[in-house]
Amino acid sequence: MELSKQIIIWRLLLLDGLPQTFRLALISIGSAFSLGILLGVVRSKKWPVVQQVLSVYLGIVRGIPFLLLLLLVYFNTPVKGVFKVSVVTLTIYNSAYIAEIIRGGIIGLGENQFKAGKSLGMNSLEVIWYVVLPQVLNYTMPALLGQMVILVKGTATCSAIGYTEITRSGTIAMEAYGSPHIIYLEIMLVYFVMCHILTTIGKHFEAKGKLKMLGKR
Amino acid sequence: MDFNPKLFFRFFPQLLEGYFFTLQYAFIGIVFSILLGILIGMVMCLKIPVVNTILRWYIDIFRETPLIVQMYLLYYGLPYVGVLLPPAVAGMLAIIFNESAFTAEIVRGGIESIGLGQKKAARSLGFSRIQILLTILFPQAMKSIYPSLAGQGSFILKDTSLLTLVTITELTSVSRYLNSRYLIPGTAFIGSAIFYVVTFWAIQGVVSILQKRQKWN
Amino acid sequence: MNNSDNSVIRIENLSKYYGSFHAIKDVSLDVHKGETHVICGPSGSGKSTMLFCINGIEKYQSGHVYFNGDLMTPKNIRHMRTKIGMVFQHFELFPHLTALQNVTIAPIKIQKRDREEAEDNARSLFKKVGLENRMDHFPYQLSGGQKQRIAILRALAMDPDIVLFDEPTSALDPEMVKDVLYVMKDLSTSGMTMIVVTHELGFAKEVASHITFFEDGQIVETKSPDEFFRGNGSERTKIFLNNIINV
Repeated sequence: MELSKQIIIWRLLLLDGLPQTFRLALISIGSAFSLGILLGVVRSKKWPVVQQVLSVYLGIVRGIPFLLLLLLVYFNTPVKGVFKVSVVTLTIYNSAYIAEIIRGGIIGLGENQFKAGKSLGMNSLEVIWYVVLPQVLNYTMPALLGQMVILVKGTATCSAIGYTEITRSGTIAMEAYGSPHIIYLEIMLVYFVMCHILTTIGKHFEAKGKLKMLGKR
Repeated sequence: MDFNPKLFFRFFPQLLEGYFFTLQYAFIGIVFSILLGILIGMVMCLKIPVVNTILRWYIDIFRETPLIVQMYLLYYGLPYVGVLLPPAVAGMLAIIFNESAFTAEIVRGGIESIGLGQKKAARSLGFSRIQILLTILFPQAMKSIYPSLAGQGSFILKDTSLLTLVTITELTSVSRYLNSRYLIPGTAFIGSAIFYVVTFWAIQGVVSILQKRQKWN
Repeated sequence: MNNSDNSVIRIENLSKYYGSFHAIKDVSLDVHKGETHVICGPSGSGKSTMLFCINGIEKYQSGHVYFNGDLMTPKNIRHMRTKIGMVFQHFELFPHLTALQNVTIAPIKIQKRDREEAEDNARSLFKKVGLENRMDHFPYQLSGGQKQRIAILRALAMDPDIVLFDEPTSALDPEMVKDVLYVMKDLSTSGMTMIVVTHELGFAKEVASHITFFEDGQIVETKSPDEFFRGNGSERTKIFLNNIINV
């Protein structure tokens, strides 16, 4: 492929598509994590009715393919606009998995730290905010980063409902200039760079966590 | 969320047909990706210099780039380099390669988590590395990882819904057709969601039973 | 609101069940200002559980707990907890905070004290136990004895009316037990009201004002240290003492 075509394509991908990917990913990470942590904390409590309802909700969200969820939100909810639909769907989908990660972390932490916080006069929210969550977030960071990778990859599927992020930019470029074998490889490269950074950070946390465990007396 | 039970029953046969396609694709995907994943995982444990690096790249690339882009690459890109495959094959190859990378990691993790003592004992008895791998390490690893492998099944089931984006007929594509033809987004998408969720719950049930059995051991 | 007799903690007919298992059987106890009550007894007798019921960390099915003459209710319990200190067997320091932060977090966030004031107060507490050079260390960098002493400081920083100790030295290596007991003895002689669940009868002999023998979910008897060690008690107490002393 001639150089000039290459440059045009890269411009399309990196200047038009990639910022949209970032925009979608960053906002969705924020909302998915907020909702996911909230749900995870609620999941760790012993409230029977709430647990049943949440179990069913989470079972449904995790059981539907992401693409189908996108279509559901797009056609069946009052949410309008491809970007908003993408954010909402990414949030709903990923918060379900984050909730399970956080819940597992809270249960793994055990009751004793909770008791210590309570004995100082903290209410449940204060204990969770000052004592439990800082430890759980640190401990589950590798899994949370893994979920972030899944979220970033999920932004690509949002191209299917028309959101013009990098994957869709690639499809547009392909329709104009051909060479899909090169274009999609280039797109894969961009995703690879983004996700590999996240996974590497995750491995760093895992190693740090193991060191601390060994250092405990 | 306009779900019309009457319409659901009316279009049930079409949805069911799409569902059967989904099941077939899922089955093929599960069988091949698990077989390939086990193979790759085991070979990685042999730590052969060049091969290991290649496999490491394979795993990282397929896990850290979106499945949809991989599908587009095979579906649109292969014909450009002279490889003409039926759409279903291109789509399924993407799913198989993608999920085999995840499976390979599960298998590799399972095998490497088995203590060093076992390997040393086997070596001292005169076993070769491959023999150790196949007869001692792998069966033991299988005992601890088969719930995760079963869990892969639900991921592959959800992956099949992306096949609709490369013009393959399965459950999601049927629901999109029904929606665009009859303008019944509620019935079409919620209807297909029901199929997916019920199947997901069935797989989860199997995974739970397997996990409980594993805890007993 | 009657507290003419200086009772800090009064337990009345406390009963707790774990399912059908009657763990605490109709227990009553009265602890007055300045007293150091040691509670001893066989493992599994429920003494730690009873201690946790006092500040409501464990729930109980019947009975009442009074703090400074006021009945403990779900409404006022959180406020009361800020005046009831607790020290745990496994220290339970917050691993993501430094030693200083562990001691100051509750005064600042719960008692709404000024950060500077809380830190100055904490610093003088650290100095008193000789750990001022450990204030910026994290728990994983500290020994068990240091952690437990800091846990005691964390309770003291709230300026409590009473401190509850749950087997504070049971998880410590022998060399460190001494250091922690020293702090506790000092606290007792300075007039702090304390309830201590422990096996350390040497400590009890030195500073306890009352020793309670607890067995099988019930208080068998409460005696002064002299009477307790002279063996002027019931048969069960004598058997328990014999087992301990003959080890």
